[in-house]
Amino acid sequence: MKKEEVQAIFMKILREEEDVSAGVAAIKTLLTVIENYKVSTVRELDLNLQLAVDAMRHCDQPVTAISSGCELFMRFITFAKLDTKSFEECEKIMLQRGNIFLDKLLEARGKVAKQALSFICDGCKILTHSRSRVVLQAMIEAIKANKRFEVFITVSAPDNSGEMMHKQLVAAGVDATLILDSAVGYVMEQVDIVMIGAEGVTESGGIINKIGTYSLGIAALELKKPVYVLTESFKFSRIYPLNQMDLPKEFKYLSNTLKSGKDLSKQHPLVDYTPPSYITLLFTDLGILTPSAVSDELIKLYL
Amino acid sequence: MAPLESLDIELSEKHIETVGKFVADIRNNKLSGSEQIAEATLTLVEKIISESNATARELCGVLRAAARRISSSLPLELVAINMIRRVLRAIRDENRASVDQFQSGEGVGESLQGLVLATPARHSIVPSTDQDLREPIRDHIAELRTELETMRSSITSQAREHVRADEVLLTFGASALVERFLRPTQNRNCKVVVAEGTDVGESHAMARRLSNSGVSVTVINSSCVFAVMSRVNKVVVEVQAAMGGGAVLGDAGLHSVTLAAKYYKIPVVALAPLYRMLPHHLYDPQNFGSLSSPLQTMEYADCGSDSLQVLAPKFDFVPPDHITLFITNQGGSCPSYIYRLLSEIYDPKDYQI
Repeated sequence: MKKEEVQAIFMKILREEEDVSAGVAAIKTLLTVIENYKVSTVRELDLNLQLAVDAMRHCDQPVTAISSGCELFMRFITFAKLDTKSFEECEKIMLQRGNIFLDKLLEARGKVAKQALSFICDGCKILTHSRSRVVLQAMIEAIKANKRFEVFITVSAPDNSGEMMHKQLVAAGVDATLILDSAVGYVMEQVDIVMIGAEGVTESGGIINKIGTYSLGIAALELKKPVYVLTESFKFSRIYPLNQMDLPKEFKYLSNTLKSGKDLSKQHPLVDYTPPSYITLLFTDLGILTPSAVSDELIKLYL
Repeated sequence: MAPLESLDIELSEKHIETVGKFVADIRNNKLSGSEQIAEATLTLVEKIISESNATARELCGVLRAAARRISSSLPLELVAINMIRRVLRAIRDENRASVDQFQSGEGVGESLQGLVLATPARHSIVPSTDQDLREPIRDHIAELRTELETMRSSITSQAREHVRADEVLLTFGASALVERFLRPTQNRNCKVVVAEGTDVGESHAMARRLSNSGVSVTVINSSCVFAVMSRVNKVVVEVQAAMGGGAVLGDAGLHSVTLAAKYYKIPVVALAPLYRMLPHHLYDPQNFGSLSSPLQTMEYADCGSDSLQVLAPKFDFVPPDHITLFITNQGGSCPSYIYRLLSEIYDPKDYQI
């Protein structure tokens, strides 16, 4: 199994299924690897999966979600190995569990969107940052439930993903206004709640999200606006950064930038870390959690 | 975690009558005080269970229908619904135990662990046993009754750890639980400042009773709380509901008191017996319909013209960062831990009744 093949499968899934996030696409890729690349021992399978994860990390896609999703998947796999006798049975069980895992993940977004629904009240103004499919789904659900609300969405440089989110919101019938990243402080006094997605959730209960989220969090805390983070549970990861510099380099910069050997301190990072004290509540498919509940969940899983 | 589906049942005539009597008792003040209401709810639940079908699914359906009826007649009565939620959790636990889907001691509801350990069986809905679960459920209800009886002593016994000698404690409004909490325990004598709540007569009566039992009491108007707050060491209040996330529903006026406490960095201790745990996060005034009678604010005869409107909200929403410590039957917990308590005593399916 070659790196390029895995990368090709991964990019294909991302291209064909617009709605799928990088984390879910990564898990789908891993499932495809188990299915297509036949091996005869568990160790070989393990090595294949490790290689695949490594290949995907060098794909110029946001690494945060890929990393946490794949770790959960690997954890999931290791739980399966112990019971069975023959390798074929083992593989079959792993594939079966893999598909259950994937199904649960795909349902997660709907669950999160439903929970967020009761927090969007009539006449409220929501501020959101960059492009998040979960937030988009939550707002579409709210429109279906006939709620009246207004959304401010930041442009989110450098890739201007906020513009695409704005287009999708307007197409769904939401009253959305595109604002500059720098206008967040200006707009904050008018909004009622801040609703953002997350690329990763750290063990401390903070989030890793598109650059600009930290500033948004600080402004929201200062003006006493609640910050709600909508995220699926597979984004929980075991890292515990204490400041921005603690974030792994692979999360902050694209793999091309890292490989090119440029001076990283002069490059624009793609993500930043928002500490848990700036976050009011996390909406996940496991329920509505406070930031301190995240480490509880992770501990229950790993210990 | 696979859910136990409950039927959407209509209550039978007999049950409607029983629930109606319960609601009337509360309205006519025959049951006053949350403890009495909680006990009466358990009696009501026992009666309903003994008159229904024994399958877990039906029992859950009937209890949920009863709870919906109670909450539509008495939207401000949170304690009764919470007690019904606890019995529902007991029923679901019994059902799970008897169907025997689990080996490990996995908790209710979703968890990352549940996600990762997923097997096909966990996806199906847990079948309801046809076993008669009424006996074990009656045992659970008896346990809940004992918990109610010992609730007061388990909370007030924690007073020793929180009340130091010669401290000045501020309380807001009248509460029997806070009164017991503040009574002099052994050698620890504290000074109490009672801020009048909405019911001025009750607050004065409580202050009088406290001072008769030997505590030095000062009564102040609630508008003076900020002025006095810098001299206070702790604020002790009983709350109407402790919500997910650590927020609190208190008597009207509590938010101003906790704001003053926050300004001076005074710890706020909230006494919350387990029947006050409310599994919601938001306080939506429309949902809770939270106005009570304006009579306590202004007499009807005094209202001259049409353009005068008198509002008397029943509850005040206090955000989690204003509360320092919750004291429940099970001990002290910080606001960020309330979600854990909620997941231990209620089933997530019953959060929305």
